[in-house]
Amino acid sequence: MLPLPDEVPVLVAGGGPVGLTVAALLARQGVASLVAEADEGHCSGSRAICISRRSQEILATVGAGEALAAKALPWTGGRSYWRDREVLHFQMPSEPLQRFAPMVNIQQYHVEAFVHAALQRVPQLARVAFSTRVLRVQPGDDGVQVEVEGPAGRQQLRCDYLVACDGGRSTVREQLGLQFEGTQYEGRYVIVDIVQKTRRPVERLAWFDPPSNPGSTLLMHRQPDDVWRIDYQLRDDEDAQEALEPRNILPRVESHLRMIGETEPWQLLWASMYNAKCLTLPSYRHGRVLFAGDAAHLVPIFGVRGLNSGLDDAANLAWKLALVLEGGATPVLLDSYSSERVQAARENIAYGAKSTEFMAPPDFAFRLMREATLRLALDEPAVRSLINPRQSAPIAYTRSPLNGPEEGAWSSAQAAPGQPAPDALLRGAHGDFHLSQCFGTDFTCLVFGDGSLPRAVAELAAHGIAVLDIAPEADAHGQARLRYGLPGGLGPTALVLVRPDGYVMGRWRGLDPAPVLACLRAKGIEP
Amino acid sequence: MTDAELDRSYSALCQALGEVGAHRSELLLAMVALGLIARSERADEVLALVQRARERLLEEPASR
Repeated sequence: MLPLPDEVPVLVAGGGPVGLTVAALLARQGVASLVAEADEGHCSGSRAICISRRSQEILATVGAGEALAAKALPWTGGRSYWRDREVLHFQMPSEPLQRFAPMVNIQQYHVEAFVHAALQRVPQLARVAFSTRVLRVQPGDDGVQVEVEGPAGRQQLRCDYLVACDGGRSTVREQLGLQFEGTQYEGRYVIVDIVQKTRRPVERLAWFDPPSNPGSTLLMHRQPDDVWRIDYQLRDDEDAQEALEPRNILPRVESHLRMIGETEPWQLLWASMYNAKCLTLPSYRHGRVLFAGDAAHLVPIFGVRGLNSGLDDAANLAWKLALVLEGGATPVLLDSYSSERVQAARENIAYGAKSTEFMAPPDFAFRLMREATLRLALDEPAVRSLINPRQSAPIAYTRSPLNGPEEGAWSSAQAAPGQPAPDALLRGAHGDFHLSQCFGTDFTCLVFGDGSLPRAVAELAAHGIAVLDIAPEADAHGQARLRYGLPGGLGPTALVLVRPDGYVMGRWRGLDPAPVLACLRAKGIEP
Repeated sequence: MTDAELDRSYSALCQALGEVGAHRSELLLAMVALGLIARSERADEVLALVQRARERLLEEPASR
């Protein structure tokens, strides 16, 4: 085993999916990092299993996309049942030309392994040290002094920046004396993985008060390798330790599998306990220490916003940190990481809290209204949306200090500054490609022209901005012009500036590059 | 009413029920229901809803 370096530009505390992705995105920007992971390998148990479309984009950027697509199970919707009656069938936005399914299911340890494999292709820029834990953190003005303990003993390590991705029980958070703010719900769920062959379609399945487990609420998700994830709510009077004993798990699972007609032999793989938490740090930047993922916020499991929001943290942070380290921006840029992602966490928490209040009603009032909703949903389609799990979607940074201007008239607000840049299928010289494949590393100026690319616009490349000409013939399906708010036909021209993390920064009608450069300059950014 | 407005109204009603307490929750629900009935354009929609809700509950075993 190689000794650890004494000094590294970025130390990432925690080698879970968020920490590994931070390192991989930094490597894409040419920034070297070391990931210190306390465990001896990737996680056990399936943990986070639902990967959103946005997360699939981020994982594709880091080079884990192919492995993910080959293994994960895509899905687009789900069904909820009250007793033995279907009360909701929902579909997430999905269309034949899309790059990714709205959601895929896969065990977290596979995601970790795929990102780790991508990191191993750039050993000069990233290294993962397993069995290596952060013990002490001393932040300074010029860097952070960190004491770590690995297989070779304790040592001091200096980094320019420390990114804390060390999970809900973050050592870094504790070392800095920081506290989560927010609330916890008391309703507890047992989370179980079992292995069983099935031919059932991949969907999110939920049962309220099923005949198999009267009074309980139960969720099922298919995963690769013939694994089912089953979550069920415990009664308030049940003991947590007892509930995780196989003798208590097996009959409930067996009863439910029998009820839905899954009769193949099965085996218990993993079980854990969960209660919904709505917690966040009020700020994710503390000088040269930055917090991401569960170390920064804990959101309820319902709506799958945990890992997905952590990956969004990674995407938001990596380009900003790289730009600051390379002198293209002052450290003030990192404050926008905190303000954007704290706002995102608060929105995720608000959605998650709503889902939790339905899935694990906190008092008699929420219980009563849920009982009413489930019965009414049989006859009144209008109330069914209340049963919908409100699945994770990218959060718009509507109040971000980085948002630039929006000049001229636009027929869609989908690509306004602060919004995640819409995807579109485009026609290129070497075949079709998706616009989102061009995001992830550089600032990109989308050019909606009506003829050849003006020279002044092409010269944006000399300022470190990638230029993507979306000529009308490239926009063969019309998706880009529709989604970016430029009605069809000749004439409407525009420039749209997209950040490296795939968010719209500003948009201007016409083809004058000067305001694009002025926008970046005004924000103190030199790509 | 949009899904988001329905969601907001639902949460507000749950909140209000929690605040008045279980023993007065039936009264609060009755007040809200009557207020909405009075604002409805047509009685036949209200009567149909009352009828359906009644049937749904009567078809359930009473013990649950």
